[in-house]
Amino acid sequence: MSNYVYCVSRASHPLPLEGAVGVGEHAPALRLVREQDLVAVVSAAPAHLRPKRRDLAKHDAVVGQVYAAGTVLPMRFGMIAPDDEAVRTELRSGARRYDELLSRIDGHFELNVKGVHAEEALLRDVLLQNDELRVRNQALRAAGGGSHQDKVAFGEQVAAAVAERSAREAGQVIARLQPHAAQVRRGPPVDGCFVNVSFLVASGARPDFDGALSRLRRELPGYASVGVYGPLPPYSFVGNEVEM
Amino acid sequence: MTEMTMTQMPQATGGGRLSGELYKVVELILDRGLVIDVFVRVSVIGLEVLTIDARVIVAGVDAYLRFAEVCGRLDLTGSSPRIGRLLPGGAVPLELPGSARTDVGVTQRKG
Repeated sequence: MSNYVYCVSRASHPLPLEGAVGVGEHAPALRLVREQDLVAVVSAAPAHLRPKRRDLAKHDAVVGQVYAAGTVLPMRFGMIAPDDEAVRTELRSGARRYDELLSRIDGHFELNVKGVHAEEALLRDVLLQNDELRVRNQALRAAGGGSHQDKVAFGEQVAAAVAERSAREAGQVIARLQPHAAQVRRGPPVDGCFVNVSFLVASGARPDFDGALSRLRRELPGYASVGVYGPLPPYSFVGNEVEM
Repeated sequence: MTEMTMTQMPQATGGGRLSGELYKVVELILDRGLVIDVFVRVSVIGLEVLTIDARVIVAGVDAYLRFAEVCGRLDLTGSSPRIGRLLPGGAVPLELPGSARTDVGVTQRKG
């Protein structure tokens, strides 16, 4: 029977699994597959699995529960191993890499930072700071909105100005918070966010991170706000890629 | 377009104890995390579409038209804090109240 895999950890991890159930309609029990110094948390894989909120929440709850008691390498949602032997083989062949990854994230957590713009306030500021755009906007208004072509051309210029600010403010967010993180990784683009970035932060560095965040919030323009999510299991810092 | 359901996915049905925050970081669970090449990954139609959409939304004709439309609705006159932003070097007018940072976000409708 194939296994849905949640996370990999050290065999010495306490691995509290009480109360948690696996993904899928039948809420399968969680099991441990051990190999040498490593252990994987798995459950019987459901026949059909799609990224529904319920299953994402279960995946996250299992990883979160184990992570709360010690260091884990969280799997990406949806990883299926054909059987226990395949899990053991992987733990054996990847042992060195997993040990390195676990050592790197020991004592750290992930904080995810997303920045959003209040759009009307942003556009107001763009127009007020740019004479050419402001004059064109007034001309379009006077013409009752202007032609389709005029609107597209004007909107494209506005979009360029918005993109410039987004890039600038994303740079600000990273520059101010990076000094308090062991690693930084940009998240996937998310609709409505001008920045999505994760920081691997040592437990002891949280006060400094929060202090930098407060200063950042004062420094950013009034139309920009940043939200912080976490502490999270270090999803962004266990991949094969090393970025930034 | 069925793939778009992904962006709407977190609805008020079920969900774990982290459901509020889960929604905010769902792309990390779907697109980050450890991948083991020899394992199979279930199809997660949606996230890739979601990330592509994010780029389209800021760069397509629809986005340009929307920007033009929103700009056309903005009333840039008759508000001293905003006029103050016209001062060289982004100087802030003296009458700007302490709460101006949030005040900037207030929508002014014309007429």
